[in-house]
Amino acid sequence: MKLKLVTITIAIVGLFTLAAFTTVPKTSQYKCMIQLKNYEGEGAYIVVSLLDSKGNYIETLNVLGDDPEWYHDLTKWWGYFENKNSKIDAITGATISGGQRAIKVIKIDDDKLDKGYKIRFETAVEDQKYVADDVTFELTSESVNSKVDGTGYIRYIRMLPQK
Amino acid sequence: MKKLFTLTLLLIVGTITAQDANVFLNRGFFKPTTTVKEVQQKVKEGNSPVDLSSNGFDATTNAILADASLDVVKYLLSIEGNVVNKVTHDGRTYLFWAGMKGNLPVMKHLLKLGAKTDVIDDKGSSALLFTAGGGQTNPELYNLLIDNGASINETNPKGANALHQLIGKAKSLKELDYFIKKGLDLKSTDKAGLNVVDYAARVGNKTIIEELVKKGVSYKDTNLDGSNAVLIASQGGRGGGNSLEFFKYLEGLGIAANNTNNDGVNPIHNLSYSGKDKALFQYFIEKGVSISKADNKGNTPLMNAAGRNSLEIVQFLEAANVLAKNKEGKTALMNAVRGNSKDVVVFLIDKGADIKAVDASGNSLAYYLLESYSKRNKKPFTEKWELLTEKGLDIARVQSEGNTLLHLAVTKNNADLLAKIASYKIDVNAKNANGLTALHIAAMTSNNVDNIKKLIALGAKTDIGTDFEETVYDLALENELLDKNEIEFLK
Repeated sequence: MKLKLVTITIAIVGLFTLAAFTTVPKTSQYKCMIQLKNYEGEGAYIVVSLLDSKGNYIETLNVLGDDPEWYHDLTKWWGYFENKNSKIDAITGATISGGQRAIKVIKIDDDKLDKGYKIRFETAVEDQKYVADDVTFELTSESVNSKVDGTGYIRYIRMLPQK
Repeated sequence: MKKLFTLTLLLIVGTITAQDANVFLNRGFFKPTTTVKEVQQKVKEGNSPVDLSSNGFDATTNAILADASLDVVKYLLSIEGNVVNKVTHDGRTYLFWAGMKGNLPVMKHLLKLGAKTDVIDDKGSSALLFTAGGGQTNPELYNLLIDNGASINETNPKGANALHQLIGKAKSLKELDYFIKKGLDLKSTDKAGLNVVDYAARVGNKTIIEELVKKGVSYKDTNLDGSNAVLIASQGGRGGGNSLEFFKYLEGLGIAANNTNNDGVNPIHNLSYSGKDKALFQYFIEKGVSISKADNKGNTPLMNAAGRNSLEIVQFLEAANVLAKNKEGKTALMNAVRGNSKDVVVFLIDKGADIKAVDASGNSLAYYLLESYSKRNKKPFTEKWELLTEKGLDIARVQSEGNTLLHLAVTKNNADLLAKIASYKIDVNAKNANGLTALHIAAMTSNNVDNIKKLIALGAKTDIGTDFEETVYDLALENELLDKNEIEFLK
């Protein structure tokens, strides 16, 4: 009887330990400021994605633009996202226009840092060209605390780890 | 009296000339008979053959749309800045416009210059699909596109192919032989399950539906999204909806008039946005369609109509609860204040609409009032402002994301508007959820210093930093639209 209890206890403790080791990897939050240039025209649709070292989409981190009817304009991301049933409501907000900025909190798993993963900002504006790589940079311990210039509608983005 | 009339006329003419200073952006300048010489003369006079209008049309696009001669188009394309794959209205290149017009010579010339056939426009169409959407059935157009890399099987994001795009304008099934020979199927459906009958129904093409029915294409079916041809027809195409007679024809085919799709949308919901024919509403009511029921997003016919329909129709649809909110917390009154006339706003308030309602994101009617501001047409805004402030609308209330009305008004680039708002008890130096004051936003987005100076005159402080420790001067310095010599006063 006693032995059985001990076995069960060990089993339970073991389970908890196992659970502790297999829980989702630690995630950190980052403040991400997207500052647009003063371009003329409509608000920009922007999607922030996590890519692996080969450039494959891994995760959608944030979407600026809440009308799914226009998502296909973010061509490359749409190719990945279209047939996925991922819920993005929680990470979706309104578009911003020329000269404006948005500050978003994005979550990234710690084990994605310094492993060749990249963050990409894609942008699309009505009547104007789509920019697949407005901002792309490698995810490192340094880059998550930096400012990166954009090549399209984005003037720059700033990343700041949140405590 | 006559003087006043002349003055008004002068003012109107003045506005038109100011807006369309560039003759090439004027629809109506180009004609099939326009000569290269005439265009060259206008260029010499200072009209830009390259600039785009505010909605993305340029000289070349307008020339193609007006069936100008190949020589004129060739000349425009020879000008630096008019590259062959230039992005114009709705993200379309010249090849789209030439295709839509069925202009084979211009298409050939564009392709010779390197026009791409794999460009996708803002709505998700390729040049081939857009050509089909223009109702073009000349096989040569399509053979040319296909020889240059396009495919007859292209579909848009909704899954519509060339047949779906074409059917609304088709005059007979014979015209479609080419597409069917090329492998497209009359029975094909888009991602929502809509077939050619549905697409033809949307624009009321009865002739072609008759042929399709004879041919055995299904027409009574319910689509994957729960809609039938009547519901699709109630969406209407561009340029007005379908007639009562057409709906009766569809009903005569045995297609149920009382249809609700999986989103809870019925024909009255669709018609309520801009339908003006009361008899049509009456018809659907008689068929048992509810006049007041909300769809799955919580939108009632009254809410839809309040946005931009006439007072008459808003009154007609009044049966729905005037206080109801949709899933985003928006009311009919919010829609009316944002997009409709003072009359409609007055009507809804008289019927008991709540001017204190707040939507799910935290915006009140004051937010929607400001949304309705238009530099070009200030009158409806001013009328609604006077009405609502008189009724006690709280202008000083802080809106969603910590924005005061001043935060929201600075991007309108109008100093008078700022003064109007600041006359209410608003903290000019309040920071929004992004840590920005109204002055920060003015420094970031204004195209001249008037806005900035006005805010400072209203008490905005220049020494408040952003949460990223930027000064107002830093932000103004980064702003591409501001003259850097004029911002020293912010230092």
